[in-house]
Amino acid sequence: MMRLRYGDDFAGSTQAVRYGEEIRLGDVTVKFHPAGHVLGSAQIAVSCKDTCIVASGDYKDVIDPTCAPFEVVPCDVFITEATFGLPVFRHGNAADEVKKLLASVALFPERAHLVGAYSLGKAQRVIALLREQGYDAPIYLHGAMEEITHYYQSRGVALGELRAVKGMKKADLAGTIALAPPSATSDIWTRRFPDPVTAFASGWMRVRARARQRGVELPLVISDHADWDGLTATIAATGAGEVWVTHGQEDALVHWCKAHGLAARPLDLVGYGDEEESEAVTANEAEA
Amino acid sequence: MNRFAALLDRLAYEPGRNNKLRLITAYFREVPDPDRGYALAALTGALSFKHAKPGLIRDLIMDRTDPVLFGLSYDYVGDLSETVALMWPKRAVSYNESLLGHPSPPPSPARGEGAQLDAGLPPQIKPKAANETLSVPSPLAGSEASEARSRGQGGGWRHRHCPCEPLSPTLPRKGGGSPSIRARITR
Repeated sequence: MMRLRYGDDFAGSTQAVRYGEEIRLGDVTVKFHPAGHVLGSAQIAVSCKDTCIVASGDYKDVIDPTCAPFEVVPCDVFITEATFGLPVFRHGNAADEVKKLLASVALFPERAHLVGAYSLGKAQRVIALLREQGYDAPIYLHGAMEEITHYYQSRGVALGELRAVKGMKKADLAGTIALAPPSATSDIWTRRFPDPVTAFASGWMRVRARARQRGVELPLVISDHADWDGLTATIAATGAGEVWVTHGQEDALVHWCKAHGLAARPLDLVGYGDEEESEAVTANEAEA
Repeated sequence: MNRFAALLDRLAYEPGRNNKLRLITAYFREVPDPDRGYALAALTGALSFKHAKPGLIRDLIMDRTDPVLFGLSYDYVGDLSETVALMWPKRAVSYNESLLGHPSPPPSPARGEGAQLDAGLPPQIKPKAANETLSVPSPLAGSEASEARSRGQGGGWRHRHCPCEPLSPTLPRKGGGSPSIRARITR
């Protein structure tokens, strides 16, 4: 997937590692565990003598039909993400959000429903959730998400019939559901759809100002990151006495940890936290 | 009333008038009484919430959350009622439960067929008695009513301060319900 997104020279050298496989580097052992974020995402546990540190990366602790479920890894130090590290973020049940979308499709059969979704992971999950609800019509894809979605299918994730938006007549898109990267839902690309209902699948949709800011008509709270309850429950479940918080709203989560007797500090990494919102689409992809 | 909350949410984001009408029509077609009646009252400005003021709402949330976390959240969200609705502690609820969680009151002249006929008429020509027997407090008889209605007609519900704005579907329902629900129950 890194190769698909960043090209063949995405890394100097690569090594395939399975979940649960143990790698020894001197005194240190390294193990990868499912993070439940997207296909192939992993937490990395690094152990040396009596100490185990787990770096979560992005994770979510809810069922996702497109990837292996999150595994709690007991550890001494837990490095957690905090994209949704405020108690206002509670994502609820993703299936209910998809029902909301389907109810809208039923109510407005002459309009197209255009769903903005991050093209790695989120889009495929939304498709899989629609299929779980029994929606078996073809789902249309923006060109920028075709490749990664087909890769998911090649890895055995069942997504049903998918078609490209490109080349479709406007009238034929009435009553359909199409997925596009978030940025494409607010540009002229949308003119090819009949009176589109703009939906956006993201944990940010929990806050109205965020939805309004983007001109979203149908916010769908579907996130590939743990919500506040997921973050706090996971921290407690790891049994870690020390927590390092990164990627997002560190302050609130650090405060929560301290209030619960855990040593905690923020790790300030630049450039993380808003990824669901800011996926760039190149001019070529937008055309597709 | 989660279905009503969902309707308000959808109306708030939908810019097109005809699309709004479709949403409202679908709601009234689908939802049974008494929720539908409360919804109609809320949409037409016939409900008032004397006790659910910002100070009370703030006190209620302060009893239930960590003040630092509330402060960070309020800063982020920027709206008091929305922050409180999003932060309200979870409890297992039945999603299809009606608002008050107890059986509907028995039919009365104000609730029976006659009242339903009245519902289509402008409030000022309704029989005054009907208003007085409504158990839901109604400001319609007073001058507040025409004011509320004119605002309701023109600007739509979202320009008013409406404490019955969409609450999180995860809110508790009975007893210690949301501020707006509690205010209503205590009346």
